[in-house]
Amino acid sequence: MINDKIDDIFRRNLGNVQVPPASSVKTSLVKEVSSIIYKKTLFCVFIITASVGVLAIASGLVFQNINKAPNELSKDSETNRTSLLSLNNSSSETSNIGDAECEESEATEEVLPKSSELIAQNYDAPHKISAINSQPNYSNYLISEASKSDDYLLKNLDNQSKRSGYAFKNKTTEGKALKDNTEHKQFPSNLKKNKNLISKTHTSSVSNVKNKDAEPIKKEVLSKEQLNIRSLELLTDIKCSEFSSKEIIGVENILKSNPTSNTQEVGISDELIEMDKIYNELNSKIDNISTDIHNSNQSDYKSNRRTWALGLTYGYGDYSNSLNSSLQNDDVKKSTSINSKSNYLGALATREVGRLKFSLGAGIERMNQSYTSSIIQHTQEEIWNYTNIYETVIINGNPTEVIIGQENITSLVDKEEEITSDLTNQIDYLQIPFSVGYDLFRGSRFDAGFSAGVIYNKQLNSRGEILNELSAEINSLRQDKSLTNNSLYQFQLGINITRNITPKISVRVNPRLRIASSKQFDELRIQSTNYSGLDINFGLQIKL
Amino acid sequence: MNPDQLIYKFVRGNNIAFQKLYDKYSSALMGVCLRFSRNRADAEDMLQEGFIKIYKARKTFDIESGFSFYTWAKRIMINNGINYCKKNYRYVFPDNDLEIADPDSLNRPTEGYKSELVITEAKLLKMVQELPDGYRTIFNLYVFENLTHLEISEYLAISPNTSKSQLSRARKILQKKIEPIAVSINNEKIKVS
Repeated sequence: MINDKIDDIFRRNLGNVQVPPASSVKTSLVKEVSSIIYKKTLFCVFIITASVGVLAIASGLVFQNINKAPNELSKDSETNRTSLLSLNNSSSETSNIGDAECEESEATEEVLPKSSELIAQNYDAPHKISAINSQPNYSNYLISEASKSDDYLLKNLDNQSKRSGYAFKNKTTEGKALKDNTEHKQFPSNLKKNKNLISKTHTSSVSNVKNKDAEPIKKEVLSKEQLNIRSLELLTDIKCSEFSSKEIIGVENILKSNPTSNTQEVGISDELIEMDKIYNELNSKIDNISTDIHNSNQSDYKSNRRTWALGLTYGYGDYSNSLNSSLQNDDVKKSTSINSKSNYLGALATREVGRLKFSLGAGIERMNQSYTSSIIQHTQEEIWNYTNIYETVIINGNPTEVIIGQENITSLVDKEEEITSDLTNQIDYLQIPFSVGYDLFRGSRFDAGFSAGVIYNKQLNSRGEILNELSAEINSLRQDKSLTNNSLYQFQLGINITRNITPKISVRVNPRLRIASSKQFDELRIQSTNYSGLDINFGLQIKL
Repeated sequence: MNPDQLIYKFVRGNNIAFQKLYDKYSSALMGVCLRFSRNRADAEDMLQEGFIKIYKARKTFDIESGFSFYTWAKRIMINNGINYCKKNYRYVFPDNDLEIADPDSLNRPTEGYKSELVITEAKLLKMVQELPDGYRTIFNLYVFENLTHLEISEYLAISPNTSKSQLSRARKILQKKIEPIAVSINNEKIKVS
């Protein structure tokens, strides 16, 4: 078949044909592959850098968690207080129901499953304890637990007050008393010791309200109530006059009218409501005091804070522009760079969200620039020459040249003159910096992190001189506003170090690298290059 | 360097190994590219693009599979050649291209035609390159790559009948181009004898 023959011809002749490509193919191929490798290398470098950054952030978080660990007890105390609140709510619910014994006990069990569990863990209750009886016991337990954890916080507070000079002496003393109290508090065997301790600390007030006629069981319960209130008073720094007489009498009245049988609990709803009010008030006091304690631990507080801060900033920068040599005229010898020194004064508003800091500021920057330029001027110099004027005179029959005078002749000679000028500029900008920072390290005294952002500069005025290398003239910046760009954008990347003087006032140092993304001068100038350099900012910051 | 080591290093991203593989196989793969392209310049572009794809796809080459590097690279080069043609030549395959005026004429023996024709590779290559793009691609795939019409149709997303008709037209064109040369050669032989 002819088709097969045609196929054979081509297959046989061209099937394994080898034609060497041009050498340029290999060259361009190698270049392209090299660029792929280069891009991949860059990508790897970027990934490594990002990984290091993530590791740094992670290590910062770990460090933060290490700082937080000792304060977990304070969270426990908060949990206890929450449970206490739920207990109070349950008691109010119970008092509102107030009709049937069975309903009340069921409601209590429903509302207080965790409370009952906690009580069961710490008490050997032979029988089911009614709501009114379990409440003081449970609250007593909670108070003991809270006092344990808050004792730790009070210790911290004590240490911090020593450092900061805060006057927490009274609280510390009470905290120690609480510590002793809680160490001895073992229900129900150590109850007498507690009673003695409380009676020692608040002898006068307690002695006024003790009901001597109460039954032994009631006395014991009353003592627990008093213990609760006293302990809470100690915790919340409440003066005895606020709660001692009136409220304890109220509690006593409750307990007086609170027989051990469950049937009589139904009729005490008013007392329960009153007691609930007392507990709520006490809890609100606990809330206040514990917040202060939390605030005293700065690292824990800082990790969750969302605050505003205002500050003043002063900055000093040293930048340089390398000049664009492609625009250089042969007649101009230029300096290699412009040195710029800037001073900045401005205000800064910072929003802190956890470890992130968003800063927006405004201020005035004055940039002083100086550089040297040399211009070679081609001139023609006039040279004065005096030439003698001769006249031929026949003397004794012989012609003789005689000088009859002098003639002044001027001639022009080409001359190159180098004029060196020291030029200075002064440009004022309205500067609006925006940056996002992240604190890698947060200590009680120092914070450290990094920040990155953009800076917008709006030119306010300029004066000085700039060399026009094409015409070899020096132009005034003041006269020709088009020589400078009105708007400049820069990128900044820096390190933030903050020294906390007080919880509200801090001092900040921010060395940073600034790279201008736009040109400072007219495009046709050799100075029209981007400047970059380091600057350092000092700031005083007040947290709101 | 051992070829296996060379390929192993290439797979690992060694630039020098890649250059050596290029030196070794570029001529053969250039032949493939020349068959798919209209001219040498296009073939060189095709070759360069193909080698870039080979480099990027180096990790997909399984050394232990027993597949030769050349076969693997040639497959990439053919795929690249087809894509290059689609991208740069923009040829289309008409679906109703099966209507051949006289299909038997293709099978009719040509007068004076002999299989022992001596035609240079360059001339044959030029004939192939002068084929319309669609014809050339299918002719290449059918004749040189030994693909069936069904495979070609899947490859190019066309119907098998289109592939058949395109191949027939390609053969017809090539036959027309070979005939005068064959006649002239025969005449010369007759003259000599």
